[in-house]
Amino acid sequence: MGLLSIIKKVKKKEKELRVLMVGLDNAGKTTIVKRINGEDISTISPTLGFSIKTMQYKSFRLNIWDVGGQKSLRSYWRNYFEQTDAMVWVIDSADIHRMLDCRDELHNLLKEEKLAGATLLIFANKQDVGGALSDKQIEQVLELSAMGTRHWRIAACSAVTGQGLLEGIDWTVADVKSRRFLLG
Amino acid sequence: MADRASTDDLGQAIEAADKVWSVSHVEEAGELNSLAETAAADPLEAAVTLLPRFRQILSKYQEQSQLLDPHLPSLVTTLARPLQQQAHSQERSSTAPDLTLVCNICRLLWIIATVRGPGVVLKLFPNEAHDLEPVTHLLLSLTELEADPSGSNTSAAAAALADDDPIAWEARCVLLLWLAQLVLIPFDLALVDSSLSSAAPDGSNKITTPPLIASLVQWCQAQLAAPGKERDLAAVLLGRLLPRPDMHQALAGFLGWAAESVDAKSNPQAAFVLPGVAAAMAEVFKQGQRRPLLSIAPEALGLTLQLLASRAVQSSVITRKLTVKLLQRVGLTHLPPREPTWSHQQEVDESADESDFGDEEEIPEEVEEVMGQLLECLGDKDTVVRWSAAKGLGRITARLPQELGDQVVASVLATFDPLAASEATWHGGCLALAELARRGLLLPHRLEEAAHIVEQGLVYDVRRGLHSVGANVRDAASYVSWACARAYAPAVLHPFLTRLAPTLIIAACYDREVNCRRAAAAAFQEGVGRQDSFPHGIDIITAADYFSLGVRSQAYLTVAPCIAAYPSYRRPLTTHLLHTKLRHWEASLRELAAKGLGALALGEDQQDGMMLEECVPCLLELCLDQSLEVHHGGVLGLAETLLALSQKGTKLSEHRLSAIAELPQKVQQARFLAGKGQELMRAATCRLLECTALAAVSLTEAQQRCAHDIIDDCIASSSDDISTAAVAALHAFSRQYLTAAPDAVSSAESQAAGSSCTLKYMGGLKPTQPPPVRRGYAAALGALPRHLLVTRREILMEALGAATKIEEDPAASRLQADVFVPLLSAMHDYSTDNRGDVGSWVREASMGAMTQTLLLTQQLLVASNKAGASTQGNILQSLVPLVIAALVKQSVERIGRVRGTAAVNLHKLLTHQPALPCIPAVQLLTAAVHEAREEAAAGSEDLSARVGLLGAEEPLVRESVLEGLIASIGGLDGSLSNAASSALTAWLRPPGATAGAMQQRLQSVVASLLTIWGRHATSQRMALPLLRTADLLFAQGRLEELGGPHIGEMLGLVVEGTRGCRDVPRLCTAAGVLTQMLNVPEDESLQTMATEAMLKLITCPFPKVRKHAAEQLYVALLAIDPSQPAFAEGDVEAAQEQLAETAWDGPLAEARLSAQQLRSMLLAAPGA
Repeated sequence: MGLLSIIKKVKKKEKELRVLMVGLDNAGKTTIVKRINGEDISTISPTLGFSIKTMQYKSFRLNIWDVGGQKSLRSYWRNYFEQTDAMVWVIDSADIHRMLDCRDELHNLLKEEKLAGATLLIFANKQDVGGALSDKQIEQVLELSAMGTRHWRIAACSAVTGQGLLEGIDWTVADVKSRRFLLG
Repeated sequence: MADRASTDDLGQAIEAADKVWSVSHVEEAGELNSLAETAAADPLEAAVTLLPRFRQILSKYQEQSQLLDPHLPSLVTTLARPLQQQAHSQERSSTAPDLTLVCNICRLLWIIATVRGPGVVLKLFPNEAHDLEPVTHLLLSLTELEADPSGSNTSAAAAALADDDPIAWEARCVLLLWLAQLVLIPFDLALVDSSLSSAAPDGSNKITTPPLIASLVQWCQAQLAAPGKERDLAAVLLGRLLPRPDMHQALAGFLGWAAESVDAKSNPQAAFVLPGVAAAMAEVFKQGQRRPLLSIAPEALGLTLQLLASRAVQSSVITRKLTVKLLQRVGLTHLPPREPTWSHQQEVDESADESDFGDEEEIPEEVEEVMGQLLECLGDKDTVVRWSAAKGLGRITARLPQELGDQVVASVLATFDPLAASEATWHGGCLALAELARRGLLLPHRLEEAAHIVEQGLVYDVRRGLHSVGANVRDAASYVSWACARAYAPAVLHPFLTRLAPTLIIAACYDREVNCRRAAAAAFQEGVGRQDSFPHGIDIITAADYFSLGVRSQAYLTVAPCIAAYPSYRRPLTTHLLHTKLRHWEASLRELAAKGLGALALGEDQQDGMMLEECVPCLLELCLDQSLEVHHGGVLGLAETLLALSQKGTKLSEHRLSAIAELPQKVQQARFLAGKGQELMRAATCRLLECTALAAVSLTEAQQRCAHDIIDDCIASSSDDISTAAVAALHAFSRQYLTAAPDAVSSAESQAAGSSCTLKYMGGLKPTQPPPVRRGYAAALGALPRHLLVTRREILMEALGAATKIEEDPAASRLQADVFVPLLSAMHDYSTDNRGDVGSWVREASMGAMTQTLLLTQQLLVASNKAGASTQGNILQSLVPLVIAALVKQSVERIGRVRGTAAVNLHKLLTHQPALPCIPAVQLLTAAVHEAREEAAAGSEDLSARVGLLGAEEPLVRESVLEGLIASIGGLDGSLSNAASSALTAWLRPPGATAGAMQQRLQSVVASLLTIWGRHATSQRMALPLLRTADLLFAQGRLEELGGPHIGEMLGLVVEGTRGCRDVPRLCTAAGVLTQMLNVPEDESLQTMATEAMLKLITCPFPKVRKHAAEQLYVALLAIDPSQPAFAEGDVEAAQEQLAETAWDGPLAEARLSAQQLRSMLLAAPGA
């Protein structure tokens, strides 16, 4: 093993992204994944457990870990933190009742050491549903301004219409890419 | 409507993105899928028959396996389905799974896993929670069935598995992979274990590990001692399972087990389980959450440190690497991760948050301990361990506060003690610097010191005997430069890189190793791309790319001169060649460096003058240095520089020219042209003389004479290199100094010299002269200018004519010496490496070459029939039998392919027209070749006709065939060994032969055997085969009839071979042969010697050998004739009792004691 094999490895790794999709149950995580991957989204049932989707997104290979959001599963989320490049937190923007619950879970997650460097994208999903909070409103409810040095962004989107999804993923990939360019 | 539109946009955008970026093409995709479907539908039959095709398609993608990615999910899902069915049906109806089916499918899956990598394939397995329990049971029952086939109802399949079937491991591996995925399920494991009553879900029974999982853990623990792939995968599985939040207790239990199992005192197998335990623990600490692991970290650290100091770890590279990895992981557990706010990048990033750390933070003692150990391991003797230590240092330092982190950097820098540091330390140190630099942990004030080290590292080359070490250091130094270029802002790094640029270019152009040249170029490129601080960066990386630097001569002669066009690189490149590469340890590199220097001189700007003012004087000094490398490089360098300068029309001062003119004489006076290294120096001096002539340096008469003498002496050399160089020198020399052409103004002396040398060369053609002289002088005449030859045309033709008449004989002797001797010796190439018998390629190639050359020789001789039959007879007479014998030997050896090649070549020689003379044992040989070709065509393993060659008259043929046969008898291939053995025994007892005839055959074989044995007395390869053959002959019950000296000689060889031998199978076979010798009647001294040797074997250091030898001796004593003079009857019985009662595989001391008593029973003088 020498420099040339390191370079080969780095080049290979540069093109791979591990993305963790989390959020409360019924936020639309699986639907978003399937939508991005161009799959049928008409029959989606709650994720019992987890699933891994590998997809080609522009020049990157995304390994998306989609983990169920039921309360009983949340304590096991940490099984999946290892080597996470980006975390996508999905919110049901119309589920106003659980918005504070959502805030607490998110802030708990952000304390996790293994996620310390990861890019954070917040999808304010279900914008197509009447009564959904806007991204600005959610930003306030979730107290995102207290985030510190983490690279984060909130993106309003709808998994059903597809609106906002690509922009969000684009930003996430670009952010990871720029961090990698610096840290190699 | 708007929604609809955006949906379509998304779809289109993604589709377009797919088209552009999804770089995948698998032309057999359809076939692969249908193969998988077929296999899943018919796993018992079809899955086996289509496997070769499946493997063939996939292995095509080995190099670019990511191309397969789009097709893998469906492949894996399809193939996993039958496994899922088996698992679930076992669960529902508790029928035992069909192991053949499971294995067949797993073989296909494992092919995918090896091609694409287990880590990728693992993610594709179904990961539903309800699979966990059945798959675990499937894995466990697989093992049970293997261990106990009788207890199962699928006994046929299980029996096949139990019989060392190499398939089952693939099933274990695939199921382990699958489980490594399944154990990630986000449910309490107690919920999936159906054996637990559902009455007590959470809370209460969380204290204990569910039995299902407990048995899985236990099974994995057992696998950690296995040497195969299962070990690694079991470690991965444990690493994912044990850190789960519901596995605290199991984790503690595992740690306890680990500590116990690696303790050499309580577990004699500790050395075998060590790597697995270290790997599993490293995985646990990698995957697990830091805080929960903190509670067990001190215990784990204690264990790790203890392991690191143990002998087992010190003696195994892989274990040491894994232990260092574990050490690093345990160390990291003590420190929370942080964005190192003090790292350089963060200083540039405006977002640095100084409040993030403070002095109040306590760094645990353990971390210091770990760092100390890692620093020490940087100088480990094995590369992989140094790598692991360097990575660990980088990772841990990134979590330290600035002051401590900088201390680490300082300690790494301090390891480069110029006097004490070894090459390993340099390598490890550079790796550590690179890992630190990658993370931005070398603070700017350290960069200068680092640059100083990297500069030295890039050209690190330390002579060790006949070679040198340091290529790894140079590569690692490039790594540091590369890492710095990536991690630092241009403004900070500029001074660092400006300083390193010339050295990087030197390494890229002039390193001996291709990987170092490429690595340096890559580092340079990174600097250009990210920092843009190299002058002419883009132009240079265009010239010096990965491919142009791939060939060394191109790098020296094309790329380097191109870069030297930029003045800032010219001087460093020139200086490096002059002071370093011209004195390199490898002669061919010095030659290349000299040419490279010439190329630089040719491209030098006229105004520069460095070549003239600095290089030439320096080279003149080098030429007379006492060290061979230096004066050789100096002479060559001077020659090339002189030539280049003269081609450009650069004028040297008179003073220098006269120094150059004097040089050949001085070199001769310094005795560089005699003694050690003379061959290199003679060729080099000739080159200097050639260049001197080409550069038209004026020589005095005496200097010319001296030069001419040197050339003449070298021309007659038997070495091609020297004589070629001398001819070239003469060509230039005669045209420059021996000008007798009518129009040239030349002195009478030079005319005289010219004509006298023509005469001298002609005289050298006389048949009385030795062949090298004749050959060299003939070539010399060809090199002389025309005008020197024309005057003496007639004499010349006559001389040449006489010379050509006798040409064949030296040609023949040369042929034998130059062609056949190397080819014949290549036939003894039995080198092996991890690929197996790689020498077989050499043997196959030289068989073909020998045959071709032999036929060609015959053709030439027939065509030039002038010399008469005697010459032709002579050379072929000696060559043909040698070649035939070598081929015969290969035709009975271990490898079928080689036997086939031998048969083909023998057939060519036998059937060639006109027939070759002197073929030995033609009839036997024809039959043998016929049989061998049959074998190659039909795959029969009948060797009898080839063994028939044992009856040839020529001892050479007999010995050759027997030697090949012995290798086959003792080879690993069971069926071939049987065929060879039975062919030999059948030949020894031909049907209807008289006892006398059989005795004769036996004697002849034994005589040949002993000759071969004597020749291979110290051969590792032949030792066991020879013993097996002897054993076979004894087992025929015939050998002891020979008695006397033959057996005595063999005994001597056996005893010699066991001395200091550590090869258990060989010692066991030797024991067998020795006991046979006890039965040779009427030979007391032989029995005593054999008994003596057996007593040694039963006290040897290997328990297995002791036991085996003791059993053999026991049986031999049973069979012994009580009337034998050597042993009294009572003693024999007592000895048998002693042999039976001692536990020979117990402690050595006990065995020694018992052997002493045996000695007194068996070897006491009969009368005593």
